[in-house]
Amino acid sequence: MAKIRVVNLLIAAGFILLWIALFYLQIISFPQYHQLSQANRIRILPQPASRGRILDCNGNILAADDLSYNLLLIPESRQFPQEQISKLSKILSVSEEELKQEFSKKYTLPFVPLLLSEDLPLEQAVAIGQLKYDLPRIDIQVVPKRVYTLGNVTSHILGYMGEIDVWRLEQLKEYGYKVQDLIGYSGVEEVYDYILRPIEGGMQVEVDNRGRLSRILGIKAAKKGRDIQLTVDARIQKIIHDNLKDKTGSVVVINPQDGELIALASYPDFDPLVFQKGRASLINPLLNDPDAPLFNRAISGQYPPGSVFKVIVASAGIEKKKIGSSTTFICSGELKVGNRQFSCWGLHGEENIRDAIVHSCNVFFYNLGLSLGPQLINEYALKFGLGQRTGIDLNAEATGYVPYSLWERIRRRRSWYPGDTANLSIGQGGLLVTPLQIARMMAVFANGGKLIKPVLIKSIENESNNLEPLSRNQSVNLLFSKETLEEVRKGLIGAVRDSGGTASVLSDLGVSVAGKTGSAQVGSGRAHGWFAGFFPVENPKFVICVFLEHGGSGYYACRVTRKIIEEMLKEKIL
Amino acid sequence: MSKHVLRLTLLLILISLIGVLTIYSSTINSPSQSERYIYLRQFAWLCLGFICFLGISKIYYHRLWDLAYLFYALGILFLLMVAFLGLTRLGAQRWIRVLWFNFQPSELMKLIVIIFLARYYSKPGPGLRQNVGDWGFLRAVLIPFAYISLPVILIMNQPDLGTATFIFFIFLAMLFVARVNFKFVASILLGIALASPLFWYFLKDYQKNRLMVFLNPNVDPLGSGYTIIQSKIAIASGGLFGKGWLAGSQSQLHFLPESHTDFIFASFAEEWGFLGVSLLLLLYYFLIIFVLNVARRAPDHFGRLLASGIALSLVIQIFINIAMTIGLAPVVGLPLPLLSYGGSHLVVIFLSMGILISIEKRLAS
Repeated sequence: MAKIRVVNLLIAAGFILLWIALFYLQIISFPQYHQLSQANRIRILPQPASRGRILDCNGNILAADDLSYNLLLIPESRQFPQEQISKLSKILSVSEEELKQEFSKKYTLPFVPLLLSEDLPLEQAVAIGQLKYDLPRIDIQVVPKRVYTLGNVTSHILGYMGEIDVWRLEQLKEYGYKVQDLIGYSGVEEVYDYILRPIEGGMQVEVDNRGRLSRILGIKAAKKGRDIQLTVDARIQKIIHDNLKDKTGSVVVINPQDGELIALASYPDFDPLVFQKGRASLINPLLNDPDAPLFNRAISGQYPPGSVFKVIVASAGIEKKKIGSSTTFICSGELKVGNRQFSCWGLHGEENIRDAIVHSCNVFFYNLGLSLGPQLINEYALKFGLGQRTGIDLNAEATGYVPYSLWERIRRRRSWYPGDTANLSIGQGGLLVTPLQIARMMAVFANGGKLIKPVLIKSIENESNNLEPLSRNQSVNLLFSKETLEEVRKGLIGAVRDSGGTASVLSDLGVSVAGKTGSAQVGSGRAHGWFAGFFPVENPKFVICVFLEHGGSGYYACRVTRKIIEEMLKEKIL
Repeated sequence: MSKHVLRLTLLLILISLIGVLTIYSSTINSPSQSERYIYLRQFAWLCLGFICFLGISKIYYHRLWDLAYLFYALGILFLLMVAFLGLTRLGAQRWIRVLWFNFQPSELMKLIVIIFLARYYSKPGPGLRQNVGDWGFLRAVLIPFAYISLPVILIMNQPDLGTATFIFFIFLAMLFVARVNFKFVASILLGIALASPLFWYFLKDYQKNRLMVFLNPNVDPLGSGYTIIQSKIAIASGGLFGKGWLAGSQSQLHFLPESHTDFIFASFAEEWGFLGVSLLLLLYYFLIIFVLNVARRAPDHFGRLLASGIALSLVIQIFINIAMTIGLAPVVGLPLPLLSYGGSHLVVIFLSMGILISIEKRLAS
């Protein structure tokens, strides 16, 4: 019977069709649906942990996590229910209109939580928390917030926290960084992010169709980030910051013996919390400010050092036996080099090396520089660590630049004349340094001839939660003769102690200071003011470098130094 | 018991036991206390069904020819009772309370319609043939259509669009096997096609919604589309070997609605995988082939129509149910024969299988 055969065939075909459809679903599409099924039942409940603290050398907290309360709303539709608006408006004391605007600005999809308000005061958070049963679609989210005890004061050392950007996310994805993670930017927060960063824990749970817990599949404990202790002394940091305030420039204080960075300030500075809130209206002015408040002048700024550089030329001269302690040059106020007159800022008459440093006599150093030649000056500048990064644990450090006759000829296609050597001898003529490099250079005369490597980290918390000191001794003995160090030291002491010394304004403090000023001419604007020195002279504990961008002259830098030392004395730090 | 009968009995018991196991798995962790033990009820229904199966197989099926109109009248009476005294559950009024259990007359009506139409288009006794091919449109189509319309309308009002449509499909299938003039069948199909916009007008909103969702489940993933999406996830995530009995996360954690009734196939497929599913399809195929064999060799026209109707009714329900769980058919409330939870449904299937045995016996003798 044909008809029955047709029916039979149709039925068989139907079964095969179903079988193929099921094969397609269960075998071919299995991976995709397996994922969906897992996503249905498995939830990861993240367990945040706090970021490691940053402490100063005395254990004072400079940065630590605190709790912050955010108001989350899970909208059911584009419509913001009136009942919620009126209740929230009362608690937050924000107008209903403003809340509505915020809502419609942040709304994306139904049931996607939106952040209605950030960093609520505790009382408001509690008040809203108590409404939980009336307003089930509202939640208070507790998130860690970075708090900087000294605020702007440490901004250039510590950096700030902000949401991870696309570039960093791409680089760091493998290390478990996720979209919307907070990550350190600039300063210690960035360089040591991998130590400070907590290891987020989580609980993997199985839930049913209503999101109720069915069982726990696994737990990974959260681990707080490790603490870091800096070599920075918060008291001194505060002092230098306050005295630098409202002047563009930077102050660096280091320990000449082991290179510990005791304080570092750069002005203008910034409020690190601005970036955590992520509001463009607060961030953009910082980015567009012509004074570049985010720019750390102490390590990233490159400036001509002016007369401060003379100590290097002096050292080279004595080391290379071009002069002795009694060799003199006569300053008549100017010196003709080639067919150009090079002037001195005064008329010093006959001067030996000590006096030339004391009075910062240009003519003496023109003569000395010319007899050394650019090659040796360059060599000694490099010996003192110029033209290269100091290697401090901060990002964006600049190298500076030490002119080199051959290099100038090849690269810049210009000839090197004796006049260039004269200029270089007094720290001008294309020579560029960072304030930190100058502090490091000065430390050589404070510690008896060692070039230290500035360090910022004193200790890092280890697995057993103890602060473990970092072992380091990376200073290099420059092997200068005793005479060299002694002669330059005499000059540095004289510059402060002698009544005619360039830094004599520092002479009558309760502590003996030695140092060198510098006034660096720049193309336009006032000269940069420098002072680099150390104290107490008998047993140097601090090297200080004060740099004032367009500050006028070294005198002003000395005055800032004076105030800083006065306050340090008052605080009994010395 | 002949070899054939034994084979059918084994098939029926095997499939039904798979059903009980699957119902056990998908309800034992149910939040509602009463639902956790319904696998026992299903088992009880299975026993009752088996008794009915044995009982009716002893009766000469020609008795059904004699009693067809009485059955029809009883069926209508039950449906009217549902309409006036029925229990409302899940928004539909489909059950009446009989003694200690709930009875769903529309399930019984599925069988009665087959018996009625087989009776209408045949004469009892070997060699006696109704020459339906010569009948006019009125006698061949319109009169039986009027008879069928009454229960269809009553069932639609419950509302149970799935069963109502299903009964209408049975009618079409019976027209085909009864060899009604093919032009008539074709013109009816054409008529349905033309009138379908009108049907749309009569559909309730949720029914329209279901059809829309069938075309694209993602129009309403948390509403009407939810079931079909979850069902597909359940089936496909079963993979080759399945997640194992009692370990299907979609059904155990209640992501899959109706996991022991209309969507029981998804629960089964999730836990037993493609291998289990292939076995189940094979069992169903054997069952259908068995029924069709009986139809082919039936001693008379009435028996042939009866067996064909039963075979087609099984096929249509199996196809539509499975196709619905994998998103190839709209979601309609048709159970999966022998697997879905439901006493009336199970007993009616066993009754029809009993009828089949009765026909098979006349073959043997």
